[in-house]
Amino acid sequence: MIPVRILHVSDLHLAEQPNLRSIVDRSSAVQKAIKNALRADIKHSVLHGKPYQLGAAFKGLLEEENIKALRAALNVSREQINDAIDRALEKIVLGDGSFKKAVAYSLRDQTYASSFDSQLLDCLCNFIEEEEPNLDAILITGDLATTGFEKDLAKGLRFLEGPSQSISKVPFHKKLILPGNHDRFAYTDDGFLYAPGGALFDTAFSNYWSNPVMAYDPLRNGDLSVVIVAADFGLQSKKDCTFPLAKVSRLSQGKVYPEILAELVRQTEEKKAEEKDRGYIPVVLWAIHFPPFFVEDTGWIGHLMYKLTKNLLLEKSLAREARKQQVHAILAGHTHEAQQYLTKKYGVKVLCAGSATQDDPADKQCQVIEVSLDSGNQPAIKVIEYEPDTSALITSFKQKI
Amino acid sequence: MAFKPFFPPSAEITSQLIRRMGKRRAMTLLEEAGAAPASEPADDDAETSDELLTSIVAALSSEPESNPEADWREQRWLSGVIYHFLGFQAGRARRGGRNEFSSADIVEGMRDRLGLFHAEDAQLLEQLAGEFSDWLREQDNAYAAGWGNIVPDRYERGRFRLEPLPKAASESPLKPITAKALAARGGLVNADLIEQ
Repeated sequence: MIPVRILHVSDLHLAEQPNLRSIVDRSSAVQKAIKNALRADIKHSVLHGKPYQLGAAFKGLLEEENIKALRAALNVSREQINDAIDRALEKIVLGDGSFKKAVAYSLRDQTYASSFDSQLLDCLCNFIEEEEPNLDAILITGDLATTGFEKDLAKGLRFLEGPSQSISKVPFHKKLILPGNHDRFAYTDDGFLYAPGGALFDTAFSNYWSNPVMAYDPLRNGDLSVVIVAADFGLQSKKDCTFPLAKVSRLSQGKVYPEILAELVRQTEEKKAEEKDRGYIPVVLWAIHFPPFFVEDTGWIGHLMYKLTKNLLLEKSLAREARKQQVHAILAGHTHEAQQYLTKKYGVKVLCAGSATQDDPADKQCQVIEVSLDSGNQPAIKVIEYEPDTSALITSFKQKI
Repeated sequence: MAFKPFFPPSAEITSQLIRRMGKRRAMTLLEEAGAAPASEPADDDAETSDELLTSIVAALSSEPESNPEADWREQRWLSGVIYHFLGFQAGRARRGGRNEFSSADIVEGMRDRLGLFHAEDAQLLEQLAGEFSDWLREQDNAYAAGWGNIVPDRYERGRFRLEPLPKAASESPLKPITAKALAARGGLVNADLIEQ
């Protein structure tokens, strides 16, 4: 049998204007402002949090002696506390190498929300329209746009439907999308310019997305029916992150809200039953933006910042239900790093697409997921990865070797 | 296969377009900032948020760094944007779309790709399209790109034709695979999956 083929793409980061160079790299004033913002974020956390929370929040991010210095700064009179914290922070800003690395790591793409590479987007559009006859669906697992601003979302819609730099020749029913954290960035003057919870995505893409859970039309071939159910686990409020007092924490975390998970399970059971009743063998895939149990592979600072700012909270509940529902794979984006892994303990397969077009130093890629039934009617999944074909200048993607 | 260098836009038009893109992005940020509800007045971070917004808007609105190396990098970038825009159009032409184009199409294509939608941006985009037309007319009959040829109209400035290379069925990385072929490859399960 010919397998059902799904092109899995994520993290396009479309914006009204493409990026040429990171604003963070080219302006010392921006670098200083970012450092000050993170410094203020820590001060806010220290002033408003409990001393015992400091260790948990900043362990690894700051050197132990600096966490102690912050704790000590709290043991002064109310009149002196501001100055004491400022002095402790000054020491950290000047002396803590981890802090500096964290500034560079965490705010490069989060604070300014860098956008896309226009050349890569044309390569992707051409690749998709060229290969569309051999694909059953194009699934975009979030961060289609780089902010939830109307103009950036409009670029996302033009990518789907517009006359140029688009995949408008792909039939509507093959284009499946869901929101990521960037798609829901709303402007705020409180912290790092963006806060979660923007709702414009739902309006802009109302023809494509029904919040917070959506079961797409099954993809059928012979006896096989691939059922994809998507959910939005983006933070609904800035207070839902790991450490709400640290405002950097709210930018990129996701959370498995119990009511959304329950709806995901309900729709999955319903679709599976429908397909079985129709005589098909259903193979279930879940599509979300934030991968559960992802391990950041960019050193310990990257790993720590990931746990503080980018991970999926309550991920165990998702993996547990995925196993119970016999989900064959969870398709996700978010990490800009293509990875395939089985979650520890739960054994659920996770397929991360990586970023297709964001203008950042990470490798760019997308993947084709082939789902089929073997001779014993057991589901099988094969993943083929693609990267931009820059060598031959043919404006497309090619299979990774 | 070696290719002749593609169209190099002038340093002047490149610099003006990039500066304009920055200004448009700065405007968007300021519009969003103006429309957003103010946070609670007691917030002790309001000052740093202001500093962040102000510094980003200033950096976006400022003259880009200018030295020969940076200018050349930006020219190459803009050249690449036009190249892949035409590559995308050539792909559509091969799939049955139109293959005759004009300067107006360059203006429209670049408007979308650079995010320059204001009426006053049109003049810059027309200048860019004019430079491209002049460069194309200087080519010998046609320019050979990785995806096909760009052929200038000898009689009308600004008009050109894309002649995409044919794509053999065997080139498709996703051509239908038969069950027999799959079996020959040893089944479908991905051996690369790793336990974390």
